[in-house]
Amino acid sequence: MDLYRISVFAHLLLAVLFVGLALYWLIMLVALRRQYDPQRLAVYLDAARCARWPHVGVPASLRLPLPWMAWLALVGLAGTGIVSSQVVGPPAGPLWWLKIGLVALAILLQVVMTRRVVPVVVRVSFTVAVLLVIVSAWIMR
Amino acid sequence: MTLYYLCVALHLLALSLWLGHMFVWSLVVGPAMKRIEPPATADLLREASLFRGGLGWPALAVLVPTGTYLLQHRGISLELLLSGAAFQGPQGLALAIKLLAITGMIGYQALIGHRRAPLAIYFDMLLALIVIGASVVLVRGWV
Repeated sequence: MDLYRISVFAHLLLAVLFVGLALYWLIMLVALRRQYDPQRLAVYLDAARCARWPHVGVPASLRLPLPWMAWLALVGLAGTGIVSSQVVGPPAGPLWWLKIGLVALAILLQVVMTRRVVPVVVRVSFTVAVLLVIVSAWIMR
Repeated sequence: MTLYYLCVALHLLALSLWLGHMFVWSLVVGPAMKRIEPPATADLLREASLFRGGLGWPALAVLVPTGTYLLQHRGISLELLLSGAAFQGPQGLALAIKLLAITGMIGYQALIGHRRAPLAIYFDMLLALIVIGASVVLVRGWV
């Protein structure tokens, strides 16, 4: 396996993790909304947001809050995307620009999620993650 | 061609939701929530995170038919699979590895599923990584 294929593998894996993280927040939102009022919901979502990883092996001050996992995935996706583009040539076309637009939107939403987990942002983030997978499949070469 | 891309999209989406759920819960969210204070909140959030779990069978219900179609699009029919001819050559090896790993994951799904399995889940995740790697080789070749 060469660098290109390793990059494609990493890109796929990071995409899976990014979608998984978006799904996690959606499931938390749906599950907690069924039982709690908006005020309690906000408290519990914030508690989840402040959970840190990893939970062992690293000093507490160095553990990353959960939203940072999505940032790591986004940075990795950008890097592996660039590496893959270097090999197969720069992408083009309207679907490509749609993907870039969705990535920019995902970044903006992640900025909000890092500060506060807002229900509407959770739903839009999940939708954007799903759309990114669909658009990426459509522009596969 | 539209059906092809639709199948690719659905295949990748089902894969992402199922494996994303698996990886994120087992490796990130589950461990992270153990340290939430107070413990009562940690238990509550953990319980909430398990809501609507069990994505394996629904995902497989999408992955199997779309995967079958995508194989046929590459000229790999059911007859070739059953006769073993599909597993000849480097790409055939990648296909064999992928299908073996998928069989392992289906076995895990059938025997353990959404139940707590602290060690077996790591084996399942390893199989998932093999599936992704074999898929890359299937589409992009070995070199």
